Amino acid sequence: MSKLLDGMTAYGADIEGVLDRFMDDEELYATCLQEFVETTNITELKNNIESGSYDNAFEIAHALKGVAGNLGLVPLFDSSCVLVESLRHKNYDNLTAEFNDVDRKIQDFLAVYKSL
Amino acid sequence: MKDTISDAERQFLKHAFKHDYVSVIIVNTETLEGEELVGSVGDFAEKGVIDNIDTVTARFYLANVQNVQVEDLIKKTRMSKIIEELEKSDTYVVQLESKNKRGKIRNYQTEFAYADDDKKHIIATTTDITELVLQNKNQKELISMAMERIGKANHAKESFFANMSHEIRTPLNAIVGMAEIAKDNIDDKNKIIECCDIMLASAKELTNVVSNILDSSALEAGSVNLQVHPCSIRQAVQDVIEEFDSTYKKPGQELIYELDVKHEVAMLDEERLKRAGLNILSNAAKFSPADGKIKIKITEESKPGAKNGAYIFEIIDEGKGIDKENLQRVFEPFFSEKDITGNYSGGPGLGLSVVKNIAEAKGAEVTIESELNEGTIVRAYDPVTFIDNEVIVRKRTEIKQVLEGKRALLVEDQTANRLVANNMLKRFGAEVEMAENGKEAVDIYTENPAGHFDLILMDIQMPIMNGYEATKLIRESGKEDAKSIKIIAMTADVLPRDIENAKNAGMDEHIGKPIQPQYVQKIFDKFFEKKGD
Repeated sequence: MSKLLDGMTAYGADIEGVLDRFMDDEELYATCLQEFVETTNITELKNNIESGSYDNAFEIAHALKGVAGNLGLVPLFDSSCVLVESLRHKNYDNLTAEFNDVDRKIQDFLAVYKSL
Repeated sequence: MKDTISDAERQFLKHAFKHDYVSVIIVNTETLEGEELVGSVGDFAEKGVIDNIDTVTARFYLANVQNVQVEDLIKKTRMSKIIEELEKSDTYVVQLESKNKRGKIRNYQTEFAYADDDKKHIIATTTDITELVLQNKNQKELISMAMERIGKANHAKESFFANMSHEIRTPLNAIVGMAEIAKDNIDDKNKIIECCDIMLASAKELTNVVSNILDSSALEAGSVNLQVHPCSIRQAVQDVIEEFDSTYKKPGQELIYELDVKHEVAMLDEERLKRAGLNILSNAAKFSPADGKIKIKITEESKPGAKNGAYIFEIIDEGKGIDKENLQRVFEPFFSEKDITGNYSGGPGLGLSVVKNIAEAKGAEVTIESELNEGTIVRAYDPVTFIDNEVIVRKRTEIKQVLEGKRALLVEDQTANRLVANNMLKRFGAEVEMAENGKEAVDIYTENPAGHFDLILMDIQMPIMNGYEATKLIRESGKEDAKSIKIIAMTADVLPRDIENAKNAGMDEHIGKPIQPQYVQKIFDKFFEKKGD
């Protein structure tokens, strides 16, 4: 397996699912990962949660969930699922903790990705 | 009485009788004098001497016998009565129930017989038959209970066959009926599709009924081998939710789903897991109101580094609940409760029995808590062996060029998602054009002639215009292919209500993110596969 896929496996990514979805096009996967790293703005999500703009926060978290899922970033996908459902059901009691978990999962991913 | 037996004989008899009888009395039939050779039944005779057996007996019964028939008992044990009875038979037996000093009920049997050929002496031996009476009583109760259960089981079986006939005939009738309607409307494509949808749903329902019947029988007989293999719990639950939504959920009901597990893959019998889940969910829907909420929650019990752990499933509804009496019976085969409308819910009554059998076959545990008018919680604790990602060998989806010659409009605002979907569509053989939001999609569609696009893959959550609005505008555009072009929702929302929302907006199908090629393939096959492929 390549260094990229090894690294993503270590992060906890669903590499088998990714290779199936990307039809073994590792180069395309690398491009998508790079695109994700460059465009993901966790600060915007944080600001919307802190300012109570929950509808906007929902849209950002929802988009993050979808991309994380397609890229096989399972830990990030799972934690963003929790945040999305809380925002969807207007259950704001644990939003800060849930956002912090999403942030942690993104930072974990970035740490692995940048080391490759 | 001293003349009756010698001292040696007396001692011998006392020794011989003391272990077998609680009382042995010998009575002179002429003088009515008696002697108690063995005595432990309260204070029958003072120092073993009886000067008048009738008087002593009557006094004893009045003091110790608790039931209202004591006078009858006294009459039965008068010496004149005993002699009368011994004219007819060699022995005469009387039973009584008395209460001892500690208040405990005891049962005794006294047998009278002549002690000599002259018939001058009668010997009365009394035995404590309390245990025997209790055993008989218990046996009678057990037999009565068993007969009652047999009666109930027979009744349940009769109901089962009546219900089974109904449960099998109903979907079969629907399939036959829809096939007839489709034949009569052969040129109406929409009608045919509608008939096929109903036939498919009925066939699924029938498959579940038959599977439950077969599974119930095989699992109870212990003749099923579980087919355990690496399985994604997320995918399995998603499949269950999809089938539940299309077959069992009532239109206004809401299903909420939470999955909180560290290990997504474990060794599971996927088919039976799904069957158990569907059986529980279908009950939840049946016994919940039309706008009821049903929740599925799946968590995990595991220790760091350990391969073995458990999945914990909870299915919670806010329906009519189950009363305490029926709660003891819900896992019985053929048991059926009244549904939310107050009618017997139909069905063969095997759903929960199958769930229990599957659980037992797997070494899992399933429990039910319920309160009337508040709802029910079904919990299952399923020990499993988790699988690490590296161990799985997932079969790659074999891509067929089912979209060869077709053109797709891909509508997606997120770049990464757009790249994935574009790559997939091309692998399926399609030519692809792209839009980044709903408004762009509507513009591109309406600017091109009818038939330019064969399908639209539409994200839902997008800036400027979302997928629902875009779909509505496309369907209402008035173009020749506006109603017939295939529009497929592509979204990270995969709950039943999301699938329903997509269909209500005018979409033909729903693909969840992360996109899974084998499911996308199935949808494309459904819409575009050429006959003979």
